[in-house]
Amino acid sequence: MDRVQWSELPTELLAATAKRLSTRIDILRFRSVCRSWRYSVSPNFLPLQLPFPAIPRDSIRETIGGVFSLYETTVYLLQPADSPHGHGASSKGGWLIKVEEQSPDHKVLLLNPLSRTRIKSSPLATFPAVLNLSDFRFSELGKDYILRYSGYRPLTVSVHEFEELFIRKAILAPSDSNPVSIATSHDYAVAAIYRSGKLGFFKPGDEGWIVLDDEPHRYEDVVHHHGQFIAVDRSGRAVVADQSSFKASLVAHPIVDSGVRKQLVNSLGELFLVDRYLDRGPVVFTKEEEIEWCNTDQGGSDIAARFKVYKLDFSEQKWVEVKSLGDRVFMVGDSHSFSFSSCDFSGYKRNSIYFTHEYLCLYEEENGGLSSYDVGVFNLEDGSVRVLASFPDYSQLF
Amino acid sequence: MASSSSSLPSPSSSSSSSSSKKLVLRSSDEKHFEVDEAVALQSEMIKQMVEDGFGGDVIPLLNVSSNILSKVIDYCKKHVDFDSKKKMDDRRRWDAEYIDVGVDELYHLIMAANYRNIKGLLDLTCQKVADTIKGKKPKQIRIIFNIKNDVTPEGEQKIRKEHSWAFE
Repeated sequence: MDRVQWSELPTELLAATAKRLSTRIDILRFRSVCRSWRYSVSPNFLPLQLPFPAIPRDSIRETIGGVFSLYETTVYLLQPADSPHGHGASSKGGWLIKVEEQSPDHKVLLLNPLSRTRIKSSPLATFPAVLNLSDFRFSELGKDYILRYSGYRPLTVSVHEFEELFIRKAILAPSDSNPVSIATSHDYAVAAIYRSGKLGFFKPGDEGWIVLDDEPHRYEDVVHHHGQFIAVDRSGRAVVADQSSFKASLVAHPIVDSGVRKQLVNSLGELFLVDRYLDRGPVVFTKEEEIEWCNTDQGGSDIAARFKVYKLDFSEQKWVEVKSLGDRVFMVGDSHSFSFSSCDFSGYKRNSIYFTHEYLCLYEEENGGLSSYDVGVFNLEDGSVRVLASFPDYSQLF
Repeated sequence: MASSSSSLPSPSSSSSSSSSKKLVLRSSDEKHFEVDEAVALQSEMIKQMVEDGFGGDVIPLLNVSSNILSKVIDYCKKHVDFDSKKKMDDRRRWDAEYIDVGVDELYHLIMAANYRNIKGLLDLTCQKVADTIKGKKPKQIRIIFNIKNDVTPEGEQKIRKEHSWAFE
């Protein structure tokens, strides 16, 4: 057989291969192999500019104008490259970080993994100012998208209009699982939840946004799952919409006796719903800093007291309660949730949900970083809720 | 599988039933392969040739050697079979085993799939290359695919910058 020259593979084949890489780090590395590989794929970065307002209503579009841009942030699990992979390794340390990678100057913004808050100065003295990517192994745990509005004329809008115009959460789905050339390929779809709770979709080539007309459902979360958008409303009722026609159809009936906030988590190819329940009572920190719940009516705030976890059963069209997550850890953030295995990353408690809670925001750290009191940990095993600060090694986690 | 050209029946003289119509393919090293038309038509290039009226002759495949051609025909045969049954799991398993080859053979397969325009095989081979690359550093990738680093010093500088996160 002839000696083969991989560097001479035709450009279209190199591009077709690069398209199948799913993380930006892999693309970066692909581009560094040799010159022909480098020029076969461009390192496109978001933002993606989308028409504003995100509604199919021309009158308002004329008065407001402008665009909004979708920026991508990525949650990585970062581990030293030379740490042992195999079983029996005593410690599988690392960092859980969320970054916004900006082109073309390669500046990177560090964000709180569970929110969209920017961390202005590193919370850890040991965290380097410049990180050499080749020193680490990267596992991509998920992406969160940030919307930034620009170029529209300020105008007075009613609360109702505000709710109809602005988007609370948007997610991007590449049509061919190609995260890199999205901005140029025009091959993507966006799903958004408005402040009003309506669900909207957009794809390039469409006249405007398609807003699902299914009052009175108010959607709380949307994820991309196996090539489709799945959204859940306050009752737990879930719909699925494919990303070309956006036709929505029921995929799960509401939950009986449901909680107050529904968040969706992709884990190991299955879709989970995390439902939270509030109890009323003042927050009391004991010596161990465990939160105690005082169920009196002497005031206090509503605080997250417990969670229920469900798995979607597509064939039965219902959410089935799950009593244990096993080794999995669910991270349920303000706008985006993800999961990983506690076996891959020590320091996190298995069978637990790490969540953000506005009522736990007792302290705000000056550097804008993660206040340990923002984060609660719910253990499915014993139903306990603790603040992250009560775990001795919490500061090493993020 | 490869036969000498002298003993080949003329494709046009074979049974008139369209399902068993045969085509003859010739590899770069002059070996002849007789295959069902349905199998050969997995290749968009051959489909085009047949539509243009070249179907009755021996179809020369100048860039494909006999050992690669026989492997490509394996793929096409199997997938004609799969297409009629639609068993996704079986297909995935068979594909995974099929593509478990060394990088040299992979290279020839990807080139053959591209040249003959066989979409399924092209997807499979590109995916295999991507899967091999995933999670590896440039240095490791160069070793696996036997690629010489031809990046200029200025290029190196740029790459180094790309490969670091300067936190703002």
